[in-house]
Amino acid sequence: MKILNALWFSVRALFARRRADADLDEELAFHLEREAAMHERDGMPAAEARREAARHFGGVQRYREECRDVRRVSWLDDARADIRFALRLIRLYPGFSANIILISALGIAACATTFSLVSGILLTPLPFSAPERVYELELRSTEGTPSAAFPLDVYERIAAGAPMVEAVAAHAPGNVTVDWNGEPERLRTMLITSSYFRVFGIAPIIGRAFTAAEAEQSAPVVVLGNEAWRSRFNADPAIVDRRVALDGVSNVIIGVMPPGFRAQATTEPDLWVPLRVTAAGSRRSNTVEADIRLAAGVAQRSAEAWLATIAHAKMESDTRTDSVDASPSLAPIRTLIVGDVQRQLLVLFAAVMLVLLLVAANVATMFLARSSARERELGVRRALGASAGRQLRQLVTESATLTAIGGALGIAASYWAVAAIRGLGVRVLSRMDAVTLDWRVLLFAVTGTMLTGIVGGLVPALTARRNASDMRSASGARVAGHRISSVLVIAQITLSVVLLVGAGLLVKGFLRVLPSDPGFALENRATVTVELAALPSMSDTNRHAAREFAREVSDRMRQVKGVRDVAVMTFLPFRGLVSRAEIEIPGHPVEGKPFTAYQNLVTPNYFDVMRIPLRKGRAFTPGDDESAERAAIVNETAGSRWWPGKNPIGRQLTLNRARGRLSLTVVGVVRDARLFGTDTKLRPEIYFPVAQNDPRFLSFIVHTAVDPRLLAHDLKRAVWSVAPQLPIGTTTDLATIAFESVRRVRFFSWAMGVFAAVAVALSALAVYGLLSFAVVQRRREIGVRMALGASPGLIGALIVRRALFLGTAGVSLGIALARALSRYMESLLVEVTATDATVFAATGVAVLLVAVLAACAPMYQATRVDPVQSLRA
Amino acid sequence: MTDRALEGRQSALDMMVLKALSIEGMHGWGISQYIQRVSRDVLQINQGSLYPALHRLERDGYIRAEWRQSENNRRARYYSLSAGGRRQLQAEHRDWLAFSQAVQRVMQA
Repeated sequence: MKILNALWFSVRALFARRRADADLDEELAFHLEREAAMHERDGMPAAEARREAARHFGGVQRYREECRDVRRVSWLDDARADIRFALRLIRLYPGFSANIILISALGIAACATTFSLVSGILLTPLPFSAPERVYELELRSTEGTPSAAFPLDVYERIAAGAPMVEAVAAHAPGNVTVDWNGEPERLRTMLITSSYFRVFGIAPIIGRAFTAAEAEQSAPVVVLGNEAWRSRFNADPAIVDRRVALDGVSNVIIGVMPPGFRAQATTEPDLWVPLRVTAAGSRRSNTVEADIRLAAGVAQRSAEAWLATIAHAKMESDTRTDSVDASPSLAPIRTLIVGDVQRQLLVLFAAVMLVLLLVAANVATMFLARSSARERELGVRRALGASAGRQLRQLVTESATLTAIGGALGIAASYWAVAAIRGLGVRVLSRMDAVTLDWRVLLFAVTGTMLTGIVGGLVPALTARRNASDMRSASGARVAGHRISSVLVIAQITLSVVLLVGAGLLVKGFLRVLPSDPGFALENRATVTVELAALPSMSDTNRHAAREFAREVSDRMRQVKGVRDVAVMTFLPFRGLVSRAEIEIPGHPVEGKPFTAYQNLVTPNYFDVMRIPLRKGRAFTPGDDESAERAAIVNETAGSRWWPGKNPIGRQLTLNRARGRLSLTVVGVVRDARLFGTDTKLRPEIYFPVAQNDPRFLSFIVHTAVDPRLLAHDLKRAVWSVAPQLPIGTTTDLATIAFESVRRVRFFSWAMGVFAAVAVALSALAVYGLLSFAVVQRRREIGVRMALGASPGLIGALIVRRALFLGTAGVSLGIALARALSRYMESLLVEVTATDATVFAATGVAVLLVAVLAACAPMYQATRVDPVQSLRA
Repeated sequence: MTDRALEGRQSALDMMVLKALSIEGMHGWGISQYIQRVSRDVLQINQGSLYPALHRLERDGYIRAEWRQSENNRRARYYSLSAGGRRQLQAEHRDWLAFSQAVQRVMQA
């Protein structure tokens, strides 16, 4: 209670200081008057009475001060004085202050921006209620690989109701064609049961969700995704009851989803439509993708155990299911949404912490240098009665003020940086919409700034205290201060080496991964993918419809101005969509074990258009059609693996297909083309002619003479001239696809690179600051040396030697530390080991160089010292 | 003067101020006159030291202050005892008695 009272008293005193002073004066004046009046009544003359009163009182000034002391809120008042003094120092040392402000701003901006990533993706709660209770239902086979295809009958049993389950829903991704005034577009849909909204605990922001009845009847209602509502319907507030035609059927829009909601889909679905789950199975299969919300307080394990009991009961009685060894499991929705970026983000976060440490060390070095120059002033303060604690507070306030200004600038800068990162990362990582400068990030930034300021000021302050409070030993104190500064600078160089090594490893891996020469042409190759299933002429009777369609469209496309040639393949590279063929080689030493190869159906001109060179034999010709013998072309890897040491041309291989086995003859061998992996592993590839098969997927590769993006529209029209209204999947080009495929690695390399750059910049500033201050302090010594005959070159050499010493020490320690830490990064590295010698060596050399360069300016300063001037000072 | 000795002097003064205010509310000068009178002029405290004491007691919440018109129509700051102050007075008085009795015993031994 006493403390509260005291606090209130002090706060009041703080704000009404002048009035309090006036009051006190009045009170004391009153006392003296009464005392003097008393003496006058006793017969003293007025003047003497007043003197007597004053004497009885004791020193008025002294007691006035004592009263003020009682009133004074020591720390707050002192802080105000200190801040004022700190601001004055800023004016006195503008260069120094600007340096510190810049460093803090840079460091805090980098840290805040990165932390916004970590906070947004990992820490911000998911946009639905109690996300920890939401799981996706999976079936885990004995090998441990989970599958999202959950048995329908088990799902229905759960849907019927259970105490452990609050709600369960099924979803299925889909596609639908929407006609926008003659231009059909393929939109992404998500089919969901009506309980989906309950499972995720969300509700449409406009309109309503579907009812169970509507889902049952597959009623023509649809809820728009928020992004689709904004981009396609102009965020029309009166959207409810508008109609849209999906696959030709008119649907009513009944609501709009909240922004950013896409559950575990990789991209936000454009439309949400009702899903009907029946005993016959949804979409002609007996599995569903299902999500579940457990009741409050139910543990994941108990729920899984319960699921296992129903599942086994059901599956044993059902002869259709053939995977009785699989058991149901729950996958927390969070893991599915956030994805596997956790590790990368944590590495980034560690880098952030290192940078903060660096900034603190930097600030400390700077202040150390300056306080050693202020030894005299500090000594005077001590002589005037400042306690050690008081001095500590003063020095810490000075550093905190500077870092606070820098921090504020840094936070302001990070506002733009976060927006930039959000734009860059939006297709790389999930949940980028949650990456903002929110309270968590601000709190982190402010705390970081304060800690940096305090630590930065504490180190020099503590050092100052340890030294003798004797003004004569100023030079001794300077030496000790210098030693600590050197340690700090070495520490900073060490940290920046660690960061640079990390960034270097990531970047090197990224460069290796970048398909700069994947083995086929990337430039000027437009791609057009079509959805063959929607081709009207496709039916069971016309199996060759795809072939004819491909031929006609290719011809039409060739007529487009700017097109050189058109080839067809079934699976585009780098898309992650692959088709594996099972191959058996009769007569192979390892008999019985089938080989797998990536397969593709291609037209004869494919190898020309893609510029994949032929090594042996021939490419496909129009003669390789239905009437001819079945042909195949393999790549070099397949050739050397399947017929080691022999010529593959003319040899037979067997293709195992669901429809039966097929025997083919190898007619050609082509160079390896890295179509399916973003790394350099060699994989067997096999090609078959389109004319001898019926592809279910088609992509046109168009060799253009101009920028492929310019022809996109014309190419689409060519397709529609053959099959009007046919939905076209994506129209892009190979170069873009390749670029996109490495976006995640690129993103992280870039981020780490920025850190490393910041770190190196800070270290350079540190070396510069330290040496420059040393020159200023040791001016007298330099003057003496010069007077005694040392040439400017020699002086310069002294400086460089110091820089080399600092640099070498820092780099050696840094390399050792980086070596120890880099194995934690191993999981993130592709194509590069964590102890890559080149990266380490290059980093070491680079940082050393930077340290020496940073010494240039001080070196120049030193050679300019006028011995006469400095000796006189 | 070391902190501890000062404490001893201060607490005696504080206690007497509280006692004075427990009789009736008065201003600073009135308190000094009261102490002088009642102690039969034995205690000639430096009147100035009263004011820091009053500020301390006010800060700690044992007394309250307000401006009032004094006897000679001048504005003066009048102090009064709070409930906490009353309790504090009793406590300090108890401690002081114990202290002086102990000293007495030692001197008479």
